[in-house]
Amino acid sequence: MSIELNWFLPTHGDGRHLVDGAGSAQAGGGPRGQREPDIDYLVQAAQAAEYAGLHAMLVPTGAQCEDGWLATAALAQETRRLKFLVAFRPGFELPAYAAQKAASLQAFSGNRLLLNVVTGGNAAEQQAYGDFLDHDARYGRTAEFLHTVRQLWRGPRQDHAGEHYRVEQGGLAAPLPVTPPIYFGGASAAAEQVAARHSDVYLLWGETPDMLKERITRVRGLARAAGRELRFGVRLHVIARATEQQAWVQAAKLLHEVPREAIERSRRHLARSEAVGQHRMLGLYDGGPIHDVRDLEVAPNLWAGVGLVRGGAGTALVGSYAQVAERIQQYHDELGISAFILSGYPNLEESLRFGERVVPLLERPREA
Amino acid sequence: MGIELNWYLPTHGDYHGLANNRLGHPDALVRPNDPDYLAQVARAIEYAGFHAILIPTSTTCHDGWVTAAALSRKTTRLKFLVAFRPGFVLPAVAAQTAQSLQAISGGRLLLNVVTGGDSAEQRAYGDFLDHAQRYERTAEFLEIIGRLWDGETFDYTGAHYTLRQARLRRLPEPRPPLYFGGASPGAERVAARLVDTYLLWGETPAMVRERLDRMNALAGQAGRTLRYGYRVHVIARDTEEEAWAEADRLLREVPKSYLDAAQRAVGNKESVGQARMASLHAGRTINHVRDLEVYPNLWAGVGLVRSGAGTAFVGSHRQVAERIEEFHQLGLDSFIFSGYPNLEETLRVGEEVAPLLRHLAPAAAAAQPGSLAA
Repeated sequence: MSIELNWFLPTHGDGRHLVDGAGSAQAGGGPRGQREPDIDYLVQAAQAAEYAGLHAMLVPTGAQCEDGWLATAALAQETRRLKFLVAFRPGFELPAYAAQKAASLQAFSGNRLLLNVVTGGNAAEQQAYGDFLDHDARYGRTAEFLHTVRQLWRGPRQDHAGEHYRVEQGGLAAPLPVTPPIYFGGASAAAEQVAARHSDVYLLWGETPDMLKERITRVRGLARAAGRELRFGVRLHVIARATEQQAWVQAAKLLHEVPREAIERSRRHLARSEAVGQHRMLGLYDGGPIHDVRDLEVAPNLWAGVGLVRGGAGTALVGSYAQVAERIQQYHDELGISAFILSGYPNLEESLRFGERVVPLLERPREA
Repeated sequence: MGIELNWYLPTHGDYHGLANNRLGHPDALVRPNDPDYLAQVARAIEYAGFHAILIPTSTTCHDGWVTAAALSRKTTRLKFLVAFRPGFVLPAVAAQTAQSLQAISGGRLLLNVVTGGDSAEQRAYGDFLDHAQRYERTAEFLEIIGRLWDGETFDYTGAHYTLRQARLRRLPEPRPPLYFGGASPGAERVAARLVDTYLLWGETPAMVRERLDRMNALAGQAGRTLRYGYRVHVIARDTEEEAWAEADRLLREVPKSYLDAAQRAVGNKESVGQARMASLHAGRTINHVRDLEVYPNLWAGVGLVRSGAGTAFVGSHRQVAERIEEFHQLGLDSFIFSGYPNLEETLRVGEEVAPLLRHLAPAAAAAQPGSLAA
């Protein structure tokens, strides 16, 4: 099993800081080093990731993000080899519509599409879009959605009648030559069941090795019970520098820019999430006083500082180039994780740094 | 307001004839809808000076949003009239998608709202509403999108959509103009209230006048003014004789068996606009290509074979230009043309017909891709 290295595309904007505006924690960016997600910048970020030799870019989904399908369609014209892991929410569109969009993206990208199914963990955000299903029902719908999309990719004259969707004589005009693999995130019991049966790669945020091992073992078991084998992927930030000390100095700098009240506000906000994964992230830090940046080192070289102020993946690998490479190798060898989705502050420069400094230190052949 | 010239992008493939994709013999040249060819056509349309490309929607086309985003990197000025069906995606998602396409394309998005006139095709997509319900849903959809683009934060409760604390984080710049097709009374009521440009397929002047009078009245009741657009094929040549010879070739190449099957398929549609197209040729005995000339230089031959816009302007370059001017005088500002094949014919019309127009709108200023201020 080889190591697949992917990077994050900042379609909500990029910057040098953990929070927008370098400590002001305001939404909307600002004059202090924040980069708007305009297409010219996104092209540069994608080309940097391709140049750095990375496999794919995760194109996120959210109210703050540019539409992932469209960003990918545009960026595919400006890159040659890089793949695009497009995050999308099944509940917001009909399976046949998504199946056709995926087929068009395969055509316009030369089959460089990967899909990341995001079921949605925040009821308020779902309702703002017009989706009122509860958490577990949303996962039920995701399962039916994925089943239906795969069926429609097989070609014309497909029928489906389920709880959430009906299709009569639908399907692509011709079978999809290359079907995109399905990456899947979701840490709840409902999510694990759906992942085991309907996904190809199960994604986890960067928890401690012990926490990851527990989930991977369980989901692998569920998949095997369904006669399937999954791959596993982890989503992490990276702060890699020439020396361990420089890396922690950089982490400390990011942390010191964040006002204490921003941390408390963020924790109150994130505590309301329905996402099990979000609560696991929050649990890495007990809310107590932080005397030193390494008080947040929850496992060797794994730093929970990002999650103080940001939802989603809340940890970073922090260390020297050799240490970061060693951790990635360890996650791969000991936990069976083969896909890594990384990001940095800012993404353009950090993806180049990672490609040039860390990748050559990894033992195993990479997937290109 | 001058004449706005647009062209059709063949995202299901391009042909030298009316039904080459269906003829199934090796001489029936078909250009597949691969991205490289579509980029060529888009660049030809831009080079020929057209305002926008209409990117259609159907089960056999590429997704229009994806196509526009990709082609925005291959063109600099051309706008994208993206046809889409409101029923397939939540309105708040579409509102955000439109904002993204404006950001990615440098403000080159126009939207063409297609409610859908064929229940079988709607069911293939997973939509089981009937014709009247679909237009109700389109109205709700457009109301929600409009309020989001206005920057409102709001709750909405309708028959089809419910949203709580909906809002758009970034507003589209500029706000995409809405084009709309639909000839039924339900469609007309939605259009009068909620869209900017009302599109008609290539009907005769008498038929156009009737609809524009009614739409002007309906829009006036809502305190609004509509623009109007006209979707028609073009067969223009140096001389009138050459143009009709080309129309004759197009018709002759279609086997009789195919004509009969095509008419049965069209008859199954619920679309009022489709019925109006069919009425143009219904009951005619066709001994000669010009037996289908339903108004000077307006030929109903395409509609014998294809659903949707079923007529073509046929004539010399000068005659076609005169006809465009004449229809413009009826109140039509926006024209959406197509030809067989589209690449060569867009260049011909751009070079030979457009210069003869007296009321052509000034070409859009060059857009700056990536710039929100464009």
